[in-house]
Amino acid sequence: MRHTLRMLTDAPAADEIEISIFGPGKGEAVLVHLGEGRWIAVDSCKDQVDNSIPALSYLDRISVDVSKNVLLVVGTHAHDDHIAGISRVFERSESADFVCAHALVQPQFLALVEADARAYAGVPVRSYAEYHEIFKIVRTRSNSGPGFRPLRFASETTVLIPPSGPMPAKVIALSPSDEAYYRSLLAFNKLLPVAGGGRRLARIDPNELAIGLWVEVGGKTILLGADVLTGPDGCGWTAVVKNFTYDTKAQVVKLPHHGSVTGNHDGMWTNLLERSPIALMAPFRSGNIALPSRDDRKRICSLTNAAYITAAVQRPGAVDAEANRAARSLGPLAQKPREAWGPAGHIRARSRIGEATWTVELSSPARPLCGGRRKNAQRFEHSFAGKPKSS
Amino acid sequence: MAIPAVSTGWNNNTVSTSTGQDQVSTVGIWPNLPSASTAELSEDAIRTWRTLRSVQSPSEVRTPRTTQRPSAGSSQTVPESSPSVVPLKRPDRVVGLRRWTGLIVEIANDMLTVDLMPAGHDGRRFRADFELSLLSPDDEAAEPGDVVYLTTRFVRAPSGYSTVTTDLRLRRAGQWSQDEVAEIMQLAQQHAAYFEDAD
Repeated sequence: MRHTLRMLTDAPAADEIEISIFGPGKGEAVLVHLGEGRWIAVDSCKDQVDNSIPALSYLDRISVDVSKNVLLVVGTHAHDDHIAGISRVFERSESADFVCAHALVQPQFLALVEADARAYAGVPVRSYAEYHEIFKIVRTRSNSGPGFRPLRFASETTVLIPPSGPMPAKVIALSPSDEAYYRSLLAFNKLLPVAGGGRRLARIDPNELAIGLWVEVGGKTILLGADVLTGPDGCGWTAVVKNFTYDTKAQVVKLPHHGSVTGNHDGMWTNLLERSPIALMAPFRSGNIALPSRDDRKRICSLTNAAYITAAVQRPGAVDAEANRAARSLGPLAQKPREAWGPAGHIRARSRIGEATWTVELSSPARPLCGGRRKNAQRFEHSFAGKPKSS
Repeated sequence: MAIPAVSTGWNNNTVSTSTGQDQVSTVGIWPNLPSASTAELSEDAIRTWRTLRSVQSPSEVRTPRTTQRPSAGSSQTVPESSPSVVPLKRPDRVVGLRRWTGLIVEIANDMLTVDLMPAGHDGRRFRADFELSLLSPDDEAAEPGDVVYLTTRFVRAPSGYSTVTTDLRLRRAGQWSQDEVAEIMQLAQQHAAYFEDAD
């Protein structure tokens, strides 16, 4: 069924900035075209129907040489809905640096990665397997020269890509703050293996370490909110809004934390974003949690009518026949078997440098978030000088 | 066809029933599955399934009534054989098998929520809930982060009576040893020193 979905197959022009977001219902991945064939990949997710990596499939489809043209692979934080398959993205991106929070190369986190590999050896459920693979690739590539490490650390106001060339692009990390760094190390400490303790690892919640990004190309700016939360004090958006200023505002935002209220900060909307920006997000469906909630959607749609989401927030009522068959093979003791994931939708926003209009295109199951938009439309235009129209 | 006489014993989280001449382990009756489920089974299973559909009407198939689970910690007795049981001439045959590896993500209200990944076959991931008592006697030791194994067998008896048997068990991973913890910490220090050269 998914193979009949409309695919976006055309590459951006050299003078076109693009942000693409992919999300299967649990997980998200972002690609940004910085112009002149240069790309960055932020986070990763898998299509749970065929186990493919939508971001890589898309780059292949539009004939991007991933080995040469991806400059950075950013793992914003170590949550499984953001890092699924990211080691495969990095493996293909042979010229790229991997970007992570500095706390993730401290002994506390590296001990968790090692313990994870031992506690779950042979079991396909490891929490930190992606980091194990990434660090292995970093070590392998480091052999190409003394002192060379294809690894970068992000913290607030770190410039990851400085402007250069005829079409300068700039990528700046907005977080994590120093406070978040120390808080995370304390959290990691509590999870370290202890002699006599059970060989298991609880999954940590390191949203405080999430890397927010600010991308500027030719005067157009994009804010990538990852899972940056509002606080606590000295962390998250509270710290970003306090410490980061810029002379332009972002026209496009990847909403933080799946549109949840926990990532919503008034200062982000007023200080960093244009009025009624193009807001993109992936949902989070897991267990009883479904983000964005009804209240979240209401709030977002009161702030912009140009909000789009990669898949339905609620698990579809009628699961396809193939999923039904697979669920039955779990046996009758499994109660309420459900797919938290599903096929990945794709939202693509493009704008030419020097033009005021952004074109947003959707590939199913991506859809507009707010009511009143044409539900079946797959292409929308937004001009910050006028009202958006669908076609 | 004789209506199964259901025993009350539990063993490895399965219910055992006696069907007169045949004995099967069951927690569900295969013919109750809709035809769509056949695609998940082997060709042999599909043939069996089609045969069953043609020979068994719903009134002939009865779901075991005594499927209540024992309380946690209760002893799991092997079912007593019915006096009318005749030794099997031919053994039951497993015509379909599915294995899953799961990670416990939550335990609440005597239920555990598990992320399940197919093991040994391609397929989708699911999240599902199970009664905690199914892990007995390991139910009190189970915690989020633990691994469970789910096995589902589709079994056909010579009489044509077919069933689904499900088994859920906790992976016993043991404890960290002093040496192992020391080794992990040492490796972590070495890796950290290596990566600190970056940037």
